[in-house]
Amino acid sequence: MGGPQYDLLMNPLGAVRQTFEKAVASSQPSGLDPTALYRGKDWGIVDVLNQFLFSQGGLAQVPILDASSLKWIKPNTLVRFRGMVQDMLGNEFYIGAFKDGCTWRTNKFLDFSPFSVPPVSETTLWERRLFHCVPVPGQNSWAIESTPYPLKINISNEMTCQHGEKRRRDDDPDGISDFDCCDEGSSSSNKKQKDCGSASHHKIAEITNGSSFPTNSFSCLVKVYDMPESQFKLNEVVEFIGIYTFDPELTTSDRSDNVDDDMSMFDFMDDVATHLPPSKVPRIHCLVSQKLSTQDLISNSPACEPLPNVIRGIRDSLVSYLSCTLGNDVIAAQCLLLHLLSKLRVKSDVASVGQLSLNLTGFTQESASIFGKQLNNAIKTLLPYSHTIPLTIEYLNTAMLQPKKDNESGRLLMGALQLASGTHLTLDETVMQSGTLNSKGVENVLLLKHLMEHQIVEYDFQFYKLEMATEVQCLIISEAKSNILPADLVVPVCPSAVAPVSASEEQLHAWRWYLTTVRSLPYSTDTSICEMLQNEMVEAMRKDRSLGCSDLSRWMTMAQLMAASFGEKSFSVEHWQMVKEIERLRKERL
Amino acid sequence: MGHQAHPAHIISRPGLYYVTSSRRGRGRDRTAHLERVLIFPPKLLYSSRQIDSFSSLSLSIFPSQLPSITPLLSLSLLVLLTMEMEKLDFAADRDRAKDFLTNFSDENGQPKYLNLLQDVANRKLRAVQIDLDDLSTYKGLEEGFWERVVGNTRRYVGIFAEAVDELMPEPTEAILADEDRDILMTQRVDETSDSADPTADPHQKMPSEIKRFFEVYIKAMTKNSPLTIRQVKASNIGQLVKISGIITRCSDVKPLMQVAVYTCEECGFEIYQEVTARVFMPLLECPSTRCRVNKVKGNLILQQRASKFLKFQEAKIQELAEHVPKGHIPRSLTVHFRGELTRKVTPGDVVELSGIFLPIPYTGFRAMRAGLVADTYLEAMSVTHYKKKYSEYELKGDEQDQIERLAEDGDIYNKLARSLAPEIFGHEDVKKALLLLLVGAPHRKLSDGMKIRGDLHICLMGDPGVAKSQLLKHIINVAPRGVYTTGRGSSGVGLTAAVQRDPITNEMVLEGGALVLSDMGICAIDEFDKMDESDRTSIHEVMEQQTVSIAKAGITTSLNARTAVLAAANPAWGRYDMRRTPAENINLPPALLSRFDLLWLILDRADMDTDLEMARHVVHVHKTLESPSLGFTPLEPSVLRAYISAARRVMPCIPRELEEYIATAYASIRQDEARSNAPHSYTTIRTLLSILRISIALARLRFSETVAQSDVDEALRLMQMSKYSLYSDDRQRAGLDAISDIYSILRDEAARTNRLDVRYAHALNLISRKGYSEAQLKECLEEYASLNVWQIHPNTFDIRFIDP
Repeated sequence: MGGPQYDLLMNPLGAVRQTFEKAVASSQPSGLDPTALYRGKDWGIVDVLNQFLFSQGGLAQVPILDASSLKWIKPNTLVRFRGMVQDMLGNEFYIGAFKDGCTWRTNKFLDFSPFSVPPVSETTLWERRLFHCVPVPGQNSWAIESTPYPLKINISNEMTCQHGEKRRRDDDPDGISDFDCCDEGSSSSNKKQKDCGSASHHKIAEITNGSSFPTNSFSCLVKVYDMPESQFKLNEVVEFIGIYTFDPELTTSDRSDNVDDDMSMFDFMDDVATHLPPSKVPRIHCLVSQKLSTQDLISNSPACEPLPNVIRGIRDSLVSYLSCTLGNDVIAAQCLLLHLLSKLRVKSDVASVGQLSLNLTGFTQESASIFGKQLNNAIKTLLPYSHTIPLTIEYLNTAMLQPKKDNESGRLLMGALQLASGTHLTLDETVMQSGTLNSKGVENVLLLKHLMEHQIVEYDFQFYKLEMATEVQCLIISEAKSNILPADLVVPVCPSAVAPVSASEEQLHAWRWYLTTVRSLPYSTDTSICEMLQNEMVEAMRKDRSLGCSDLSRWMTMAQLMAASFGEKSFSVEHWQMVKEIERLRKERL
Repeated sequence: MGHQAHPAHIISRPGLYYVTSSRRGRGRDRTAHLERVLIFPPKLLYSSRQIDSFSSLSLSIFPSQLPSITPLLSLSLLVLLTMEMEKLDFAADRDRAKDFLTNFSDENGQPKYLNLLQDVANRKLRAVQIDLDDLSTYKGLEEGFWERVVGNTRRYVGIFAEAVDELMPEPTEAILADEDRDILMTQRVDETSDSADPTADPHQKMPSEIKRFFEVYIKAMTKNSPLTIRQVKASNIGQLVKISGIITRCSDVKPLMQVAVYTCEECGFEIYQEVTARVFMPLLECPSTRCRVNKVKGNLILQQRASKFLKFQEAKIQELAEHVPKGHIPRSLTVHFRGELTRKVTPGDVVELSGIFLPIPYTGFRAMRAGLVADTYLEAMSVTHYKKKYSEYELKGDEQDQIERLAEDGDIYNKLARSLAPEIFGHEDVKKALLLLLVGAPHRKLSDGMKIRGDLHICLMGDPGVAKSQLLKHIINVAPRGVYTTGRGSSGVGLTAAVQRDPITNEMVLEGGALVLSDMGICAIDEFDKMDESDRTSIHEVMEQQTVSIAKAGITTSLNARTAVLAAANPAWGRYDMRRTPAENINLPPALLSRFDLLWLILDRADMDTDLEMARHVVHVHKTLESPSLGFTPLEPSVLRAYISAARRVMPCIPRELEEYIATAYASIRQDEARSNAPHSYTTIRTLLSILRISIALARLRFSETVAQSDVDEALRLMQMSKYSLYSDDRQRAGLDAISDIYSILRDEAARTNRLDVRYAHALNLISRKGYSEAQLKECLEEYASLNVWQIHPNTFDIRFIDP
């Protein structure tokens, strides 16, 4: 193919056109209709791009689109965007290719045809998928920072000064006189972004402390091509690399919205995109995409195989760090570690295996303010996504936890419980006062309860509820055992000292790596140990009649997590004894 | 490809772009066509169908005399024109359509469509629905015709309409005249005969639409299963598709202009303009020959009364929850309803639609903003509501066969019961009872007007965490009509009904609660014991009389609540207290308890076996990450539903010879109770009715018209088991073990009949009624045989007492 003649970074559309023309030319002799040939198919542009990005290291040069970079990134250039699929807007039919004179042209990866009016001609209708993506809710600042920004500083310095002129120059030929209006729109939003600019990370962190996510700060409409139906699921975190488009012509027509609506008879025809004006929601035409796991967020992870003694060292230091945050309570720290490592492995009809929700009790309002804060900070620095919900009567009565479909606008309204999988959720019950829950409050509590028990959130589609599987680790901080929210493991915390907690950046890094790596390790159970386990369980049940299925299940989970915390794939008698010891000490406290 | 234009008509008028076409017929099979062309000057062109197929058309635009946009039309620069089409292919197909309509006869040999047309001519009917089923079975058609109809339905609706025009018979009955229209029509007919001028302006020619008193719909094949909305793809554009979903939004019904009629101030001619899109450009100047010759710009006045309007409604349909793949959210689609199909749906309806999938271009500024995008909609052709009642349940496809196969299988009763909530381990008898609740017995209305309910009521009582709620939810899933509620959860309206003040109109309105909503279905009430006192009193009426009476705020009425109640309750102190009597543990008044046909106590009893079972289960689940295999393949809920609905159609009766048997059984239960020192069960005449109901339900499961003795025995056994679950502790306290109890039963039976032998089958019947198993009987037989109390026949196991 030779090297791309176009600068893929600044003019990806050139490459799109070039490859399309080449493909059409090559199909010409066969006499097939090129449009039928390339409907829903790639004609080589993805290969070119893949080669550029991954073989030639182009990936590092692609700027990341976010609220702050939006102001200097030029339209029709290549961008990267990391976000959670918040809503699926269905398919869009567009004129994919048309014949201009004797040559075929394509509109793929475009909002708008660059050729003024394609004369009445032969056109074909193609399909693309629309996703509404938002930055991952509850993403912690380190996870954002860790995304490599190789050229950010350079480019932004260069570009911000150029930016104004550039845009204007681009737009002049179009003769759009009311460019100001759209500029105004974007610059006002820029201003907002500038205000929180450097503080934006803190803002996210603060807001997660508070009640809701910054939902309306920034979102992106991603148009995806040539993809199997089930490629992306709701709430998945995906990295898109594609062409950022922004057409001032489209923006200006926003102004005529009122006129448009007055005359519109198409009450039901309005597509959802109209609720996401391009001036506020940038469009990305995706060329390459890839699902992200939490591991991808750990930058330059130690490439070495997880060696047992390395893991053990990291584990010990992490336990001591966690016990520090909990006032030197080692038992609680052990439980917390197991909780942080827990991961839903399978959900059968009756039981969910692998999850371990934790209820730390014994906090008073005062101690909660000290240890709760320390705990929150620790979680925030350790896990990529975390979220805290203060369980006050007022919050429960007013907050929208449940994601809800608005049938009027066709959009899925984001509830606080629409979370990416792997998010950590802290529920602070210490702030709860006595009061009355209204019907919404009851609904919200039931929703949380359902989430904890079955790892399922019911989305409200007005005429029916749809169950969405989620994967959220739940931690409850309360004064006594929470009766509202049933946790798997209840541990009273006995703090003995308030110690200042500190950790170096390297340590933090190692711990993050440890947590994500260990969580993703595969598990297995030896058959040899099963018999012993069964007998011990029966024995325990005979001694204590109150033991139930859930207790047995919890022991199994804890033993497995214990083994995993040492980097082992399957647990041995030794781990089982450790779990039993923790259980014994825990029982004494209850 | 040179774009030569052969304009079929050239009509110059300001304000319009002209689009004309010429076709180069490349092959006879070309069905490509344009019905209308919409042009937005700055942007694009769409056809109403398959934009792919433009290749056979060449078009030219004469942007003649670009107008200054009149205020009226500032909305859009849209231009619309009907195109002259090549009629060749379609003329042949019209003849085929005519042939089909004339000659098709249904299974009774009646000319179905001719009869239909007669009704239309008599103005009894407006809709001419053409079933694709008929078209596919009709022999006289050439191969490709059916495919053409499915692939290009919009066009063929028109072709069939033309065929119907030609075939329309004279009315045979006096018709209710629609005066305006008929007067206008007679006038028009007179006028057109005057000026039968071939060169006349097309706008003066009366469009056939205005003459029609009918609408043609083409209904998709019934036997193909409907698509989900996400299965409708770009390749379906222009085709007839069938989809299922739930209606989420509905617009008002609005008039949509189909033919605009104008009169000219100068020449007095009536001018017609067909409207095929949502937006149209009204004519302003008279195009008639007279005005043109006289060079007068005749002023046109739109005649509202003479124009033809269609009812028009828009709706949004959304995918059903069960069609949404995991991790995705439901898609929706816009549907357009016209004419007779309007007002057929309301939000919340689950429907099956057939219709034509069409793209619609954005117009005006929206077009500019949306750029290259085309929105799509479904032009509805037929609407079918999904039936939610058993009696209206239609069997699909091979379900009939499946049911027959199942019915032949002897073990259907056990098989169906096990398939209820298969993931819940054990509880066979509870599941059997729940199966019978689903089946129920027919309602009886006596000659004196008294009604006897057929619905079974079941109460599950038990410790927390014994999967009661899961059982309830599963039953609701299987039942075609079911409401799940909790005793406390239903606020405001409560369980029964309430009179409430409408916040907007300030009027008193009656609102039905869960029990009323589940009329003819099943109402599952969780946390039955925590119910409001007011609901608890009114539930007495619901459970026996099956009505809800309201006398509040000037409203006195009775609502039907013919529902089977499935209740779940916790014992009085949250957990079953072994030290107290069952009556103390059950926290419900006897009056309410006696209304339940079966009352089941599910206790979380611990013994070595269940402990080991549990431990094994937990270890297994953690090891293999899946539930242990069930040892059988449970039936799908849909199959269960179909089987039950088929069973519910059977109306079994009790043969006379069984009456005596049932009466004795009832009497013995009464006696047992009188004999026991602590009568905590309430055996009343209701118990007798319960026995009958359960027996009938069992007969229904066998598709039998008569109740057999085995049904009665099984009914008695279930009742005994349900009691056993409550009072088994007493028995053990009384020091009577199973074996000696069986012995005393057999002894009593021998004494009663005054004979020395008891047949084995009979013995098995007797003991199973009391809740014992066959294994226990065998054990008993062996034990007492070794004591030389009786002799056992080596082959038949019949019992013969050794005379003392």
